[in-house]
Amino acid sequence: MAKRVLVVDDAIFMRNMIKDIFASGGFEVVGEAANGLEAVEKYKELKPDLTTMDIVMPFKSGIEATREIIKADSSAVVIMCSALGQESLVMEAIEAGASDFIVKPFRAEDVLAVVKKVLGET
Amino acid sequence: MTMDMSRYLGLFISEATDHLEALGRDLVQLEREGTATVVDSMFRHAHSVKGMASSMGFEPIAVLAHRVEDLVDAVRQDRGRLDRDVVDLLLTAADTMLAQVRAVAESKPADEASVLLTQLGNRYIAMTGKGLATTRVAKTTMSKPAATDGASTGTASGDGPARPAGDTAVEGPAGTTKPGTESTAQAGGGAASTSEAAGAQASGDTGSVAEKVAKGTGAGTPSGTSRSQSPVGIAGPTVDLAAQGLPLPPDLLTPPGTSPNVVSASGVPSVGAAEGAVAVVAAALGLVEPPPNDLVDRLKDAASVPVPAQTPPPAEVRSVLPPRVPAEARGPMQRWAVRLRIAPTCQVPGVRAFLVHKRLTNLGTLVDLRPALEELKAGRIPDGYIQLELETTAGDTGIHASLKNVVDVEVVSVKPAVAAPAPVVAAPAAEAARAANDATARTVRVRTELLDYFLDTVGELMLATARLREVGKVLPENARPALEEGVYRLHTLVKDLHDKVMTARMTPLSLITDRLPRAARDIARRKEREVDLVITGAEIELDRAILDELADPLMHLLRNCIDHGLESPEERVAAKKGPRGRVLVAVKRARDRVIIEIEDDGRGMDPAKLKSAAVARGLLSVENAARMSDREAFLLSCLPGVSTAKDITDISGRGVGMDAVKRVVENVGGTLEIDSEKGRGTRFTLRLPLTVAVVHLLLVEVGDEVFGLPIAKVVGATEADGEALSRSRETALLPHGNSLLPVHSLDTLVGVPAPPRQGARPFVVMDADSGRVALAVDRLLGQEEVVLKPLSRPLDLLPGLSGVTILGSGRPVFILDVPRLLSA
Repeated sequence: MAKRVLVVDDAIFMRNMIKDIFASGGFEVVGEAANGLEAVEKYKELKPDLTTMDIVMPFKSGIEATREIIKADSSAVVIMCSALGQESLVMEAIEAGASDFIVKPFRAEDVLAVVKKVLGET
Repeated sequence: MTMDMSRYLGLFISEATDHLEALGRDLVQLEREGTATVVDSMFRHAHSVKGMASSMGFEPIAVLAHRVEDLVDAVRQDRGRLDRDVVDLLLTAADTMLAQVRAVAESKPADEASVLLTQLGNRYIAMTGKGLATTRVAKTTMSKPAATDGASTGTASGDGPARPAGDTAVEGPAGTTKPGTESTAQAGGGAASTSEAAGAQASGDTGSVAEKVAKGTGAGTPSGTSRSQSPVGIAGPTVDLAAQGLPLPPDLLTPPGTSPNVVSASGVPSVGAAEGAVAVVAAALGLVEPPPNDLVDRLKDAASVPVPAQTPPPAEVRSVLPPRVPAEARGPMQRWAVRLRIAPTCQVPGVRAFLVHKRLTNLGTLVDLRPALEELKAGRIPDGYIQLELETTAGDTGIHASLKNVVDVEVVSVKPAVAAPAPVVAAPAAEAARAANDATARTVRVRTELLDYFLDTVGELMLATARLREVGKVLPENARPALEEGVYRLHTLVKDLHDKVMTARMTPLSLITDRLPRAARDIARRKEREVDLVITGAEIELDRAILDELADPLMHLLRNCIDHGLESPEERVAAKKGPRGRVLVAVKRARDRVIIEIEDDGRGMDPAKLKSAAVARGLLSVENAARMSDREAFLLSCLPGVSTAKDITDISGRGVGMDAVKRVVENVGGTLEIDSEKGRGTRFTLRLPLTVAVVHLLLVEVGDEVFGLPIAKVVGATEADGEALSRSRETALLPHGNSLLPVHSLDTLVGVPAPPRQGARPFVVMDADSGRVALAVDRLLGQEEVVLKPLSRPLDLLPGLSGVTILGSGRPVFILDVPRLLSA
């Protein structure tokens, strides 16, 4: 069965791109969220196998959302979406329980490599 | 694979516009009430636009958004930094980005906005004292077939179009390169990364020299000391510059350290490979294709290099194991020595290492970690290797399992740690490791744009010093010594500082040659050629700015050698050659030049065909073609549109052509030569200056004009009566040593009117292509060490001029490329 993915990013543009990447890799995107608050709610509702999490978002940052998701479900797999220059933020997210990270601008094969590896599919 | 981004264009335009308009609104609100919420919101808008634009590959927008993001972030750290000017600047930036988005919406290129970038950058640097970061931009396609050129996907960033120096940002010194990352803007001369170091070399400056002079940018001249210490010529019959104690660089023909680098087909330099051994590289096997591992193994055997064994995960770990080992699987507490490697292609090794650290600390207690955590987090990991000792109940299986699902991490070894290593044995190794750690600790990475900034500022300092000295000359006699002493001291200090900055900019050529094996492999594979690529002297260092420019030309020449130069194995055998072609990339140092030779043993070029192609295209007259030497004819291949290859192939026929190669090499002050012999092969020789920035000049006067001659080409100066010289046909001959040198009059060469003169006049003896020549000049003015500025259009089109500089008096002076002047 295809793995179920929740995509969190405040830009529709980014969400669409990430969704297309996942679709091309045979994943099922079951939901999306545009900020940290929504992300936590959607996570609890959908229980996805994997969540991609933008860091800089309104209302609640991706780091805070990750912390709350991990608190609710310690086995949650959260992948941070970062840009170069955000290294310290990503480390903070890893401390908060994020499983891995991907770096913008995304390349489909890189994203899928990280995701598949994290899910133990390779 | 490159993503087709065109389907996101509409979304990009609308969403980016929304963000930018919101940014504008925030800015206006910010001026009224600068709350943290508003600043945060601004940061998010800029950040989003940067992310989207970089994904779309819209570099100008991404770079500008990045600068805005930086500046807003600086304001976010300390709101006291905010003032009306900053708001104005940011508003302009928001408007500019909107215009850029509109431009791409209309399929037009977005304006680079270089002035604005510089202003934002300067402001950021002034606020924070930090350097500017580079912007990563994706290489994208828009509804066109994805570029799958192996050479471009398989190599690091520098594969894009060449850019003027100073416009190309690259990350810090060696070690930050990420070979194999397609997304550009990393080290290695990134094409897609743009930066604008404050006041740095005017990016792609199209302004005239006059403008530059008026702006007083850049060029500077120390002089003075050398001028007063070393009046050249005039007196003695022959003045040997070197004998005068002038700083002629020592002849450094191929220093002993230039052992060949052995490279393997996997593209990884075999570290420590047999010194002096001729490298054997099966870069491509078009005919037989053994499994990759087998190939690698055979190569390793062939090179007899001890290679760390790849540790395949134990069979039982192949099943999916959760990262956290369940308690019941735990064994006794044991200490393990773990050695890991972060892949050199990893974009953010620091974060990757931190993730590994986190995974392992979840397993047990880290008792030893090298490099230390702070170093790891900062990405300072020599060669990517991490060593640690871990006390855990998870066993080696658990350790393997916890790292199994992390990309870019190779577990080199997991062994039971020796509890108390014998101190006698361990001491030297431990000491060496500590020394290595110390060395790392004493090294900091500096962004290249900061180095550019240093260099430019030092250049300005030199200019300011020279001006001070000029001022001193009009002071009353009794006031002069004190000033002159101070200026002299200042000059020495600035000079010293300049040397240090230049040293910091030197980067080994391996930074770009390391990519060649992989590219050679890919090209050869596609063309069904077999090739051994041998690279020697890659440890020789060049100024970073030159190196950045060279990435594309080198790659192109390599392609040319394999694609056009080498024959197919069958053709080779028919021509009584071995089936495997050989391409040699040899780097040497000679005096103040670096020579790069790229040589193949292929079919060679046919000068007659090149000539007829040039004639057919109307680039050359039949008469000139007949007169032209073979060597000159080979250079015809550098004219746009002249190529003897029957068809434009998918490899050589794309991207930079030979004309671009020649232009880039000459832009950095180098020369390109081509030698070829039919059936034997072709050799491209690049002669490059070590640094772009500073040249030693001999200043000469002709008529009312002053010109600079590069000391590197000057053999000496002498004085003679021009009328009394012997002549051979039309050419006057000057006795020099045991030979007679042809005399050229500089006034005629450059077309400067000069009054006829009687009696003795100075001659400068110089190296030219065809041997030494003597240049007749009116006066020798002395030596100067100057900061060279490249010529901008249209002056760069004039053959015989290699640059311009500004003297202490403010006078601009052209630097002559005498060999080209003579051949023009």
